Amino acid sequence: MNLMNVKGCGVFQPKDGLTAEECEDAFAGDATAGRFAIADGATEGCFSGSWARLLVDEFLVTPIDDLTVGAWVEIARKKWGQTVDPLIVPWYIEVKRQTGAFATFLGVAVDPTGWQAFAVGDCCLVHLSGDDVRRAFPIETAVVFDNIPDLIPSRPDPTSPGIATAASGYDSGDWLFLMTDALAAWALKQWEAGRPMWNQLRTCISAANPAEAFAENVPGWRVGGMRNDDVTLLAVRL
Amino acid sequence: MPYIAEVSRRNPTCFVFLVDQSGSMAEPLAGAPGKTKAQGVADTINSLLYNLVIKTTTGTGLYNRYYVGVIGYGATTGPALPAALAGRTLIPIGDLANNPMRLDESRQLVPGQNGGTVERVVKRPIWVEPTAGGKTPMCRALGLAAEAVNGFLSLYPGCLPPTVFNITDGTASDGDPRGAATTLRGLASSDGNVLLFNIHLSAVAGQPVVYPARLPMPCSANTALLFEMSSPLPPPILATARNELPLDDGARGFAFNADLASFVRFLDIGTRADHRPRTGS
Repeated sequence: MNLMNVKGCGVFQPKDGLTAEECEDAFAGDATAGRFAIADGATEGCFSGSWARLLVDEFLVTPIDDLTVGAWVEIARKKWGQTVDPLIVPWYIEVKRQTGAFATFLGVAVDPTGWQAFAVGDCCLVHLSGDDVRRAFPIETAVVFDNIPDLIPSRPDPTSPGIATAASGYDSGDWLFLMTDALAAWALKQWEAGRPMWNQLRTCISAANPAEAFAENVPGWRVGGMRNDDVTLLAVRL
Repeated sequence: MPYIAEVSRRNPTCFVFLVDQSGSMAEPLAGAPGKTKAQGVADTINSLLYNLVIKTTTGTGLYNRYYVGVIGYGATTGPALPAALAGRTLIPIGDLANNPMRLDESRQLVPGQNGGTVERVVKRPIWVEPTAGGKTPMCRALGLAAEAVNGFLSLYPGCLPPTVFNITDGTASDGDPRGAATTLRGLASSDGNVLLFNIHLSAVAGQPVVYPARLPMPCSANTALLFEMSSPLPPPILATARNELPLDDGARGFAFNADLASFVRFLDIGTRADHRPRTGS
């Protein structure tokens, strides 16, 4: 697999009022392997940040043929239980721990011919050729974000939602933006209103210090109307 | 549009429960054989506080997004939370969580991983015990609530307006409570006025009434007075409640003979109708 030109960069900002340590988004990328993933831990769950982290980390190392059956979720579940169940915690954490953690998820596997995406919930992938949106997945318009997304539970659950998949070819120089819900909703809304912010996102990612550039821009987007939430952007240049 | 302030650690809201602990609360609770009104109220408040704690538990800790007060009125009037929390009317939810009077344990069968069941020890914290004795100094209790809420509003002037629940079976013994109720409802944050909800308990079984816009007639003068003291539901709460109940315009935060847990399920205090976790709350 020759993915020499593929590059990825992730940045995040915690919800205004929270610290970076309290951010329950996670992202991970391996440009050599062509794997990129983000996850958004549900605030009302328990140990959701570590659940989100395990989901993205396991996605990166799971064989491609096992992705469609959600093999990485099962491995992450096992590791999550092994990590949190032995901990001695107060009664209220114990209650939440029994219920488990929850997270939305979006993972992308890139090979020289195209990409495959795997999603649960409202983390969103936008595939750009220049400023043209070739694909938005799994959510295509800003109005669909409703704050009650499907979530992957860390405890086995027969009602666990299915994994949505999509695939596409790409051209060299295209971008994939993997975004957690607040940023995705805002970016799609701006695009639909004829004020696309793709260039702003690319500028942040291309800055000498992308994290700093992102941190400088996020407050303005919130003032403009972006929902106050943890925000993560994982940008992949193909 | 009021009543839309975001609730966070920087901008918490508060809930105050005024609990009638007068002698008549030792009477049986309508519709609950073998249970006194005092026991019914204590069970419900313990359950609500439990839900509040669980709702604010996140990650590996607790966010102090709520402050909670329980004020008893009867033989004595004042904060009715455990000794470890004594001396403060409003308690951050984290302090409440870490200081129950005791943890009751029970065993429950829950679904296991392979289709069977497993036994699990369930811990239930107890903060409030049933109490019944003395008269019904409701005006004094409303005054204490106003003092506490006023202090809270000076610290958090932009908060989601505090909510005060008054749970009683009787008639105020220390005067007409409407004045104190009006004063309490007159307090406000920049997001709206303080809400006063009244829950009238009875020893006589009858059709439960929840969020009426008008009272079913005939009703007692005392029921009518409590209804009059109750805040109209703000539009956001009314809209949520209407997903499940056909409420009229002008519906008030009043309940008669109703289960307290079902009464509060539309309020954002840990008993959401939709229990699915959300991201970014």
